[in-house]
Amino acid sequence: MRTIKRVGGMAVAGLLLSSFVGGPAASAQTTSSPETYLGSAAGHALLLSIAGNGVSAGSSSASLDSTLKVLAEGTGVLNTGVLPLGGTTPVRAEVSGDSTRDAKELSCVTPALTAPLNTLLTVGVACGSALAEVQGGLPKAVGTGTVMDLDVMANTVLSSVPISALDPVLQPVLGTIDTINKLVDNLDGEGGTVPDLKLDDSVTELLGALQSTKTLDVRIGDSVSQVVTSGDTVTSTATSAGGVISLLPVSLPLADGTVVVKPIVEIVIGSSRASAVYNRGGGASSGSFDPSIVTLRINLPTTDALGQVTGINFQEIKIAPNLQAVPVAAALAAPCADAPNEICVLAGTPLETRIAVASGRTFTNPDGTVGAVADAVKVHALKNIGSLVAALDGGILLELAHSEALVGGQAPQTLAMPDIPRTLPRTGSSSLLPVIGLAGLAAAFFSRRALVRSH
Amino acid sequence: MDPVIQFLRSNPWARRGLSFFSVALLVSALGVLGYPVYTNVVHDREQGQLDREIASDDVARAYRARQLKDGDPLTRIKIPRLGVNTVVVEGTSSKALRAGAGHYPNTPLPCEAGNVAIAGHRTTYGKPFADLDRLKEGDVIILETPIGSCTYEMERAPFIVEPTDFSVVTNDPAKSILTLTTCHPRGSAAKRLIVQATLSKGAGAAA
Repeated sequence: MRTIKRVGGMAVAGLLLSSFVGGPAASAQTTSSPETYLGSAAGHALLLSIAGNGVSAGSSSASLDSTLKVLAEGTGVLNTGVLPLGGTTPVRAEVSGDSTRDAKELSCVTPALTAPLNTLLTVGVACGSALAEVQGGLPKAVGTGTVMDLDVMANTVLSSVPISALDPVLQPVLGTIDTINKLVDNLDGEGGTVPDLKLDDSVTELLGALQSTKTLDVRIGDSVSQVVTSGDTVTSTATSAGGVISLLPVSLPLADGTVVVKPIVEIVIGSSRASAVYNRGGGASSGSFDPSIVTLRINLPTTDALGQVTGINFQEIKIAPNLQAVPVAAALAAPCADAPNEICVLAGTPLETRIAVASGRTFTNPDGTVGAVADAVKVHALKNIGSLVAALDGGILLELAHSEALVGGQAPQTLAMPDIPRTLPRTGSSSLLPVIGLAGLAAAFFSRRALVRSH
Repeated sequence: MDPVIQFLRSNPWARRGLSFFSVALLVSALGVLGYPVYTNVVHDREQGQLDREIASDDVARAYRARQLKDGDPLTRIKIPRLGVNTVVVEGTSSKALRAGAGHYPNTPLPCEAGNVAIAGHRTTYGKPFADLDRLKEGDVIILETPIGSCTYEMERAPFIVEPTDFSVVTNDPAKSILTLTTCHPRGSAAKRLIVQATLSKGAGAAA
C-alpha cells in the first residue's frame, strides 16, 4: 500500500514537473481558405425584337453562390428594348442564409403591350414562377417562364410599301430562279413534265404575303432555369421547350385546283438544354449542351417540283446540330459568307434572312468559370430592310429556345503557414519558480507532519 | 485536539489522499527548484559539443555556403567586460536556445553588413546574457566565426523594449551593427533588454 502511494505520488509529480520544464508543444500553423462556388442559368422560350425593340417571352433565370445568396425569376413577357412596350412583372424569389425559403407560385396574366408593338405583336397568357431556398446549407434556385400564344404581324407595316419599291430586290431573285429552272430542265430532260418556276408568281406571291398576311404564328413552351447544390456538386441547367413557328401563312393552290392555307415555312423545334456542373470535391467544372433537332417544312409549290426530280424531300428537312444546306437549294439558301454556321436566305438583299439552327457551344471564361449555350433557332429576318423602310431598321430578330448555364468555384484549401514568432525570443524563466518550489516544499513538510500526528 | 488531526484520524481515506499528495508536492518542489540546475547541465553538454564542432572544416564549408541549419554552431561571442565566452548557434527556436544563445535566422551573418541579431538566455541554460544590463558605451563585443572575426563597439547604453518590438532586429544594409536581445527584468519575460554595437574592426572578415 505504501509503495502504491509512493509510485502514485511520483507519477503526479512527474506530470506537474512537465508543466514547468517542458516547453510549449510545437504546432504547425495553418490557414485555410473556405470553399467558394457560384452557379447561374438563364433562358427564354422566345426573344422577339422588331427594329431594335421588343420582348422576351417565357424568360427564366436562377443564380446562387457559396455565401448562400439565392435568386430566381420567372417572367411571362419582358420588355427588352428602349421603348416602353409593356409586358409582365417578373416573378421573383430571393433568400439569403441557411434554413430560408421563398416560393412564388405560378402567376399568369395577359400582358398589355403598348403601341407600336401592339400593332405587330399579340401575346396570349404569360406566366412566371420562382423558388429560392437554402436547406442544410445547400442553396437551390428555380425560375420558370411561359407564354401560351404569340402572333407577329409585320404586314401592318409592310403593307404601306409599294411592290415597285422592291424592284432592287427582284434582280438577284430573278437570277436565282433562272438558275433553278435551268437545273430542273437539265435533270428533267427536254420535253419533261416539271414546269418552270414562274418568276412573277413566286416573287409576287411572296411579297404579297408579306404585305397581307400575319408574318409569324408561334406556339412556344416553357423556359426553366435552375441551379441546385448537393454535397458533391453545383449543377446549373437551363431548358427551353420548343414549339412551332409558322412563317407567312399563305393560300397555296394544290394540283387539283383546291386552295389550302399553309405557312410558307414551318419550323418545328424540340427543346434546347444547356448545363454546367461544378465538382465541389475536386474544384473542376464542365459544361454540356443539347441543341434541338429542328424540322424545317417548306410549303412552296416549287419544292414539290424539285422534289419530284431530285428525289430529295424538300418539304421536310431535318436539321442536325451541324446545319448543312441542301445542295440544290444552295442558290436560295446557303451558309453565310461571314458566319458559316448560319444559313443566309436572299443574301445581300434588303430581305436577307439569316437562320442558325440547333447550335450550341461550351466555353471557359478567364476567371475559370465554365458555361454552355444552346439555341434551337435564331432567325434574323429582313435584316437589311432598313434601306427600304427606315422604321424597320434592324429587321425582325427571333430567338427560340435559348438556354445558357454557368458554374465555377474553388475547393477549400488548407495552407501551411510558416512559423512567425509573435514576440522576440523568450530567454528568461519565471522569477516565481524558486518561490513556487519553496512553497511546495513547505506544503509537503506540513502535510507529512499532520499525517504523523494523526496516527 | 486540532480539528484537522481529528478529521484525519476518523477518515482513513483522507489520510491516504493527503499522504499521496504530500509525496507529489515534495517531488514537484524539488523539480522546480532543480530546474535551473537541469538547464545548466544541458547547456554545458551542448557547449562541449559545439566547441568541437565549430572548429571543424565541415562547419566552415557550410558557413561559406550559407547552409547552416537550426542548431548548428555559427560563431563564438566574447564579451570581455562580462567574461562571456560561449558558442552561438544558428536559430532562435527553443531547442536551439538550449545552447545558451542563438542567431536570428533572417538577419545577416556575423561581421556582415546590416543588423546581425543574437538572442541569449538570462537566467537558465548557462545564462550567457545574465549581466548585459551592466554594459555601457565603449564596451566591445567580439564575434569569432569559422572564417574570420570582427569587433563591435557599443555607442549607446542598453535599453528596454516591448517583447513585440521587432524594429530592433530589422535589417538596415546601410549600417553594420550587432544587436543582442534577452528577457528583462531578470527572471521575467515581461520586456526585452537590448544591446546594440557598431562594427569597428574586421568588416570584411566574413565576405
